[in-house]
Order: sequence, then structure tokens, then C-alpha cells
Amino acid sequence: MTKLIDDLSAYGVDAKDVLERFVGDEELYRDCLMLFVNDNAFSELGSALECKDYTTAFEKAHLLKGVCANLGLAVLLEKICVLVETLRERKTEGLDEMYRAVIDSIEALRTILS
Amino acid sequence: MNYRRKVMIVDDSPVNRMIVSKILSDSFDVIEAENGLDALEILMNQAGSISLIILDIVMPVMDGYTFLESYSSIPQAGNIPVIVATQMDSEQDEVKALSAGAADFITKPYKPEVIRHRVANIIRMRENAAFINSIERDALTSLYTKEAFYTLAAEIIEHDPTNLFDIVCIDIENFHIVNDLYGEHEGDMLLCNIAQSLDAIVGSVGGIVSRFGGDVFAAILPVLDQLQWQEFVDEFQTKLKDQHIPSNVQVKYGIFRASDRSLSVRAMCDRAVQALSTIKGKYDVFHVYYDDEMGMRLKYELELASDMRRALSEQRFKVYYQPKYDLITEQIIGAEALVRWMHPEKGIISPAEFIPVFEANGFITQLDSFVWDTTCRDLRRWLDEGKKPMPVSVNVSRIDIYNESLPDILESIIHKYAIPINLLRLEITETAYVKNQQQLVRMVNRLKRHGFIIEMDDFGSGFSSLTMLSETPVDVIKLDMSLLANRYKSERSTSIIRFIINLADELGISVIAEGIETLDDLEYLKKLKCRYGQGFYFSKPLTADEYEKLMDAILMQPKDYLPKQAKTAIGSAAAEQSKGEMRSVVDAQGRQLDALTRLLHLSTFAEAAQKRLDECPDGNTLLVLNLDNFALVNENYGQKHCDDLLRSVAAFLHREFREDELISRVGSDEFAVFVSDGMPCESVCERMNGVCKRMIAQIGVSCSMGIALSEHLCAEFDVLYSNAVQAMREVKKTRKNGCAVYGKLGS
Repeated sequence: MTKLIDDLSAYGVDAKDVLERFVGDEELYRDCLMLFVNDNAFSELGSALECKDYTTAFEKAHLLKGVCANLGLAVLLEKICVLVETLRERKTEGLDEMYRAVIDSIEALRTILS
Repeated sequence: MNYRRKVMIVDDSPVNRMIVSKILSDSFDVIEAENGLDALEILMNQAGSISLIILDIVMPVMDGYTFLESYSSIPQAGNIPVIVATQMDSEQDEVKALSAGAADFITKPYKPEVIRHRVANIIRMRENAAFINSIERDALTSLYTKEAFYTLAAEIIEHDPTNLFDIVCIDIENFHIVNDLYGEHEGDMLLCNIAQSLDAIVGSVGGIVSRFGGDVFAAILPVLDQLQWQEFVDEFQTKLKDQHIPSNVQVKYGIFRASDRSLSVRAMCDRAVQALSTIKGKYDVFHVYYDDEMGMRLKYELELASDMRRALSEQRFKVYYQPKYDLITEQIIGAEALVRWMHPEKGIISPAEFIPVFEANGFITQLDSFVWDTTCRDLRRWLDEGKKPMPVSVNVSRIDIYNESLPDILESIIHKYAIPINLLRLEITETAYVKNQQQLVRMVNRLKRHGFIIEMDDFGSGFSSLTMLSETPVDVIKLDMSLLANRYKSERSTSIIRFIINLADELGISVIAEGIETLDDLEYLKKLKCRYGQGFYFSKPLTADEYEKLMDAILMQPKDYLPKQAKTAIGSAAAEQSKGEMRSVVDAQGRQLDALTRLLHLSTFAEAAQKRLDECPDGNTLLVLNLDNFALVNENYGQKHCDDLLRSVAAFLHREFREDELISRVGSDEFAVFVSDGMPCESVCERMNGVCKRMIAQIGVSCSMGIALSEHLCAEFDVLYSNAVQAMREVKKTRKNGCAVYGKLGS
């Protein structure tokens, strides 16, 4: 498990802060991360963007943002925040790149977890 | 906090739910919901056990705001505090949530210590407030409690000496129909809505309202003129209409004008309630003012209450017996014990006057015991005098039903006088059934286990669900006279009575009609196939002496009115048959047949015959044939020959009687035939003599035949059968080879 924590720290996670939230339960934290990377909300966000359904896109991004914050994924959080704020302001410029960045970050996390 | 409180987390993200669960798991039980709708469903079932809700705002299906709007209308849920989970990015959400009724908010990412403390603090605060509130506010409707109302109304009257006030008691009559139809949960919701409407209307005229309990409310209002009052009533009626309340649910108002300010509010409320009680059940009166006559009535009732104990010790209560009759034979089959009060000044007081008073003050228990004891003492005396007393039913008040030792009390009286338990029957009032069904079913079951026979009194007077009949193991129902009195007015009541009688019949329950006053009543009930009854047409309630004389005049012990007896009679005949060791088979139509002769088995035969008798009681003939000297045939020629002979008899009977007549082998050498040809007695005899002669001629064996003819007064199979057997035995004893008709022996 320590290796995982090390890897996550390198990924930008404040491990101490996050483990406090999980009451020191590393295993639960890992389970939650697994649930998170496999969350349908990512693909739903992708298709909503594709269909230009920005209301749904905002809801999905917003949901992911909350979970992301709780999981202490600072770098990813930053990327999702950009997306959420853009959608909140009803702008459409650069959404694809922002989404790409989120997905890349998720892929990186998935690699760490596997 | 001593016990673990339950917290509900409403969030569409499983990760968030897992995190909150984890954080709270040390100190709280956690229940999870995926969205607002799920959460509402959980609240419907277990609102009472949930202490706090943590709610996400953005969710699919039903979001947090919608949830906040709807959850407080669920009974017991309105007081559950909600903490909203938001993200640090939108203060707007937080303000919106707080203004929608959220108690507080937490932000993501969650800080475990903050969450734990916030949850604990809010629960503690809310519980303290709820405790203080519960003294003043009714838990279900949030209206003032009775006690709070007494205090507040007294203050209002005291602080406003110039204005006149009315104390109004408001009863939502028949509200239990809503509970019966839609369940208690729905009923509670509706009651909450009614309370809210009432609160708004009363508030608009400057009064306050409280929930007195159940579906009764009390309000204090400044005196309204007629127009204002009508507006008040109309507005409330309109609100109720909007709630889709069944139309037989009506609002009744009892009003006391508080002109005498020295009275306590409690006393004023009592008078308003009393006024209200005078219009209960009256379809066309909706409000009534308390007046002096009601005061007199109250005084009279108080007098009765103050005299009651002395009356009991001075033996001024007398037990009367009103005979019950078999409507067809017009024979007495039992009696109901009724009580009268011989008051030294007021004369004979009817139970209708004092029973409600005694039920209200609890004295009914003692009076009931007195009646049970007196009845058993009389029964004992009749037994000692060699009379054959018939069962007497006594009333068991609904108050007695709540007495856990009721079966023991009754049993001790039975033992004290050594009365067969079958002689003392218990009448339980149907109205008692509605209020607390469980308790009643439980008590009836206990009484049944002790061996008591239960009669359900006043059936049809209250709003009782008929399904109660199948749940409560009563033996007899007594049809209420009010149903009877109404019957000329509508086809409907006739259908209801017919339905009840048929249903009772299917459930194996006897029906006794009460209040038969005229020949018309009697004919009407007979037409509906009601078998038993009581009423002034037959006899008024009699003193013990008078009833004894009536009993002495009875020569033959009448048949009991319990339906099971008739059934077991057929059963015992079938048991007799089995002694002859006959194998039976079941044919394609499900009928039981004798394996040897393929004739009907007695049980199938009896059932089919009874059905024909029910359809047409007159013009049926039952024959019982016993082969003469059959034992000799068996000894001399052996089993094989016997079997052949029996088969020939069966074939012979088939030839002699039409295809559709019923033929049965009822014993090893005994047969029965049921003929419905409507022939008069002489022709039947002639025909049967012919049958006997042809039998000898065709198969060389003679028989003794008993014949019983059905008629209107005797259309029961087991009676016919035993008559026919008796006639057959007579022939066997005297001459053999021939036939005789029951009741015309020797002819």
C-alpha cells in the first residue's frame, strides 16, 4: 500500500490530508479511487459535450468535481474546476481540450492504480 | 446521546456516500439514498428513526431542492434537520439551501471533525427543541396540544374582557373511513393537511386551534355572526374538498359560547364536546350550540353515575331474558340477557340511557359482571330444577375487551355455578371492532380457546369492513335492527342484508336478526333465508319467572342455532358408513363413488341432496333401502355372490329411478335414493310398493324401505335421512319386505 501512497503523492495527492478523511483506512481509499476512475460520469460527460448538451455536461462535471475534491486529487481537481467554471459561464471555447486534459489525468491515475 | 442516532445520506455519488459513512460510522448508524426520491421513500417507512439527513443538492431523478420542498409533508419527517453538502464554489447554493429549510451545510472536500461535530450539535439542538415543543405541540400535526390549548385559551379570554368568544369542537366524522380505505399512513397525511387548513382559517379570524386527539380539534374564536360563520364553514369545506376526502366524511361543530367567564376552558370544551355528541351520526345537522337542556342531560347523567353503585348493592338492576327464535319453526332456541334499572324515583331506566354513561365512567365492567353472574345463577337453578335451559347470550362491553383477565373472570363464573360453557354465549358489539381491531381479534381468539361461543352484536350498525368477519372467529352475527328498519326504503339495504346472510352462510356463521317487530319483518327475513331472530313480534324481554314459564312449555329440546351442528350430523352419517368398509373412488367430475357399485358415496349424495333441498324444499322424497337377510346371503354364498348381488341392486335402482335422481350406497347392504318428482304422499307409497315387488321378481331379494318426504318446514338432509332410517328400521322390525313413510308408520 505504501507504494501506492508514494505514487499518489507524486501524482499530486496530499496523502496526510486525504487519509484523515478516510479515518486512516487506506483500503477504503483505494476502493473509492477504483470506483472513481470507473465512474460512468466521465463517459457521460464526454458524450454530453459531444452532443453539446451543456446542462448535463455541467451536472456531470460538477459531480466529478465534488468526488475529486473528497479524494484529494488536487491536479485532476484543478483540471475539472476549469471545465466546471467554463460550463457555468456557458462558454464553449476550448471544452474539448479541457475534457482531454481531464481524461489524460484519469488515465494516469488508472495506471497508478493498476 | 446514549443510543446511536441514524443519519441518512442522500447523494448520487457512491464515493461521497462511502466517505461520509466512514466518517460517521464510529458514532452513528448510516442509511444511504441515491437520490431525493429514494430518500422520500425511506422517510415514508422510517421517518421516526432518522435523526438527521445529509443532502447533496445536484442529483439526478430528484434534486436536493425538490427534496427539501417535499419531505416535510411526510408525517414525523418535518422535524428532521437537513445538512446540505455543497462544493466550495457556490455560495449561492448555500444560501438557497438554507432558505429552503436546511439547518446547515458542509462543503467538499469533507473535513471529518467538522462533519462529526456539526451532525452531533444539530441533532442535540433539534432534540432539545423537540422536547420543549412536544409539551405544546401535537407531534403529528404541530397544532397545540389539549393542555397548551387550555392555558392559551384561558389567557385569551382573560386578556380580552370586552369581546365574546366561542369554544368550538370540530369532529371530522367517519374519518376512520380514510384509514380503513387508504391505510393509517395516508390517514395521518390527510390529518396533517386538514390541521394546516384549519390552522390557517382559524388564524385568519383571530383564533387558535388545537388537536384534541384523533380526528377531533378544538378552537377558540371571537364570536362570528351568521354570515361570518357560514364563510368559515364554507372555506373549510372547500379545503377539504380539495383534499379528495370521501363524501361520507363530514365535519361537525359543537359550540359553547363562553359568556360565563368563570368557567374553566376545560369545562367549556367539555360542553362543546357534549353538544357535538348530540349531532354525531345525524346526516343533516352540522353544527350545534350547547344549551341548557344539554346541561340538564349532563346533570341527569351525573345523577345516574352517582346512584349506580348503590343501585348495584341494593339489587336494583334486574336481568331480563329476551327469547331468540327459529324463524321457520317459531320455536325458542335461546335468549339474550338484558339489564334494566329499577330506579326508586326515576322508574324503569332503559339500558340505552345508562349504558353510555357507564361505558364512559368504567362502571360498565361491574355491571357486566353482575349480569354474567346473575345469568349463570339462573342457568344453574334451571338445571337443578331439571329444566333443559337453552343457551343465553350476555353482553360484553367494549371496555371489557381491554381487560386482559376477561377470560379468567368469565371462566371463574362458569366454574362457580358449574355451567356447561356452551350455555353462556358472549355478545361483543360490532362497534368495538372498528376502534382497535387487533386487540379485539386477540381477545376473541383467547375467549374461543377457553371454549366460549362468540356472537357479534349490532352487526351492520357501524362502518365495519366485512373482511373482519373472516379474521375474527365469531360463531354468530346479530343483524342490527337499524338495517332492518331501513329496509323498506331501499333495495340497497335488502341487498346488503342478503349479502351478509350469504357471506355468513359461506363462512359457517349463523345469523340472528334483532328487532323483529311485525309479521312483515318476519316474512321479509324468511324470504332472505335468515333462520333466527328475536324481537317484540315474538316476545319482549321477560323476567326470569316469565322466561321460565315459557321454557316449561317447551316439550322437546330444540336444535342449537350453531351451524356446525348441522354439518357434523352429515359427517357422522358418513363416519357410520365407513364402518362397513366400503372402498370409494373419485370420478371425473370429482364425485366420490362406491368402488363396487359405482353409486354415489354418502357424502357426495348428501351434499347434492341438500343443494336440491335448498333450491326447492318441497316435493322431494328420500328413500332408505336395506336388503333383507343379507347376512344369510353372505354366509351361504360367499363374498363374490354378495358383490354380484349388490351390483344387480345398483343396476335395478338405476332402472327404477330416472337418470337424474341421486342414488347412493350408504352401507354394506343399504342404499338411499333421493327423488325430486313432486309427487304427493299416496302416489309415492304406491310407486315404492311397486319397486319392492319388482325387486323380488327381478333379482330375487327383498328389502325394507323407509320413506321421508320433504316439506317446507323440514328441508334439511340430515333430518330427512334420520327420519327415513327410522321408518326403514320400523319396517325391518315388523314385517320386512315393504315400505313405510316416516310419520305415517303402520299405514
